[in-house]
Amino acid sequence: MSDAIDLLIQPLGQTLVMIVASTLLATLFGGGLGVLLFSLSNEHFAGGHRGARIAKHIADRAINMLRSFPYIILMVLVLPLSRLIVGTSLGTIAAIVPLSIAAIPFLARIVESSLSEIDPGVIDAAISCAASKARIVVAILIPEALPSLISGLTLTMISLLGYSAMAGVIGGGGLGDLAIRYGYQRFRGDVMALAVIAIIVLVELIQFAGTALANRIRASR
Amino acid sequence: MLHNLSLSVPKGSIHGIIGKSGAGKTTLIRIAGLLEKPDSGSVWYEGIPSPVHLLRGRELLEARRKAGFVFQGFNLFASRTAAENVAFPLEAAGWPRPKIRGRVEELLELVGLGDKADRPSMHLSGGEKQRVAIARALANHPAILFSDEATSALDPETTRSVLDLIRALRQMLGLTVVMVTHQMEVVRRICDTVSVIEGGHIVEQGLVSEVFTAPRSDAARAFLMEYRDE
Repeated sequence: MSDAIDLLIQPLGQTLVMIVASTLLATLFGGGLGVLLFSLSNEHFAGGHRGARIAKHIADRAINMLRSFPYIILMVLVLPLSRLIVGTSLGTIAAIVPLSIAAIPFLARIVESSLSEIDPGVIDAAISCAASKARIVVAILIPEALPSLISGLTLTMISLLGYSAMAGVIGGGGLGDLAIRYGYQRFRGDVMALAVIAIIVLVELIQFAGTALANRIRASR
Repeated sequence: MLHNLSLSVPKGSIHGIIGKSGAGKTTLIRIAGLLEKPDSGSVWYEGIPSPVHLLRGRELLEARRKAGFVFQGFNLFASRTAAENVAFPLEAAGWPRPKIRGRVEELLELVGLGDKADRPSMHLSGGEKQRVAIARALANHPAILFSDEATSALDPETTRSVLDLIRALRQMLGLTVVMVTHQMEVVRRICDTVSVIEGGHIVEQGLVSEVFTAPRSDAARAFLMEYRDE
């Protein structure tokens, strides 16, 4: 049993590296893309313009397409991209590339819908305060939607945890890979159980932290 | 929805816009307040040489600073305290922090909320929320204040106190006020002049005393009748 725990340490680290790094990248790019999607359809931003409608249409198709790939296929498809970006298509760092690419459109949709749920009257008020659009996004819209954005980010991290279990296919390691290689292929039921428990604990921790943070912000209002 | 409609309001007056729901009151005030663009026609503000509805970028923001807007639903920023709500238009205008603090204090005093500055905005009562919204709308020293049913969500007593505040602010700041309303109370208590809108047209316009003693339009008569029924 104690060697099972030893076996757990490295994969746990790999899983954490994969989900933290891909969450950060998804927040940066997916968050930005989400704001863009929102502004392309909001009448106070770019919405209503012909160009915006076309851009929104193209972005919608691209995002839906990216989201419809089964993850395992997406992972193999982006191998050349991983080689281009991080110099290798194998290992934990390489696994961050497909994870981020899966998470970006996912989070973009979540951000888009969180921002769309803001009371249009509040956006009217921000506009009438004579603020630039960038300032309205940063100083009003994101803070207004923050609890819902945090819930969305929590959801994204938990999906990423699920996807990261497949990273073993490209040598990314992680808890899922441990469960398959030791638990399944080498008949180590204890390692399998431990890996699964570790994943469950991670999900609970992420969910707990996300819910607590969102509730705290809601309660302070 | 609006056709052939022309409205100009003398400086320093309080002008009411009344009419049935769907008559186009809100569209009119949103166009005048630069929240919506007209399909045709133009909006002019005193001191700006070109029609303001065509402005873009920095010039549009400058024009918006000449007009404050208050809404039926208050539309405060829930993520901000009372003081932070009032500070937002000043942040947007690039004021330095210490100056913002002083101006926000002054504005909250002006609307009688000096002691509520640090309250989360959602913890304020309806009347207090509207006072914060008025302070926010006045932050950049606008020449004109647009009100879209600003007292419609308030009880009669709070309505009166908010109306008295608006009248006092007009006096103190030389503000021009344009108020869309369906409340007789608003027109009778603080408006100097009134426009009656029906089907996207102004069907009657004049001093409140004239329009209400001798209404010429069906819409004005209907408005008076409804009030009598109350």
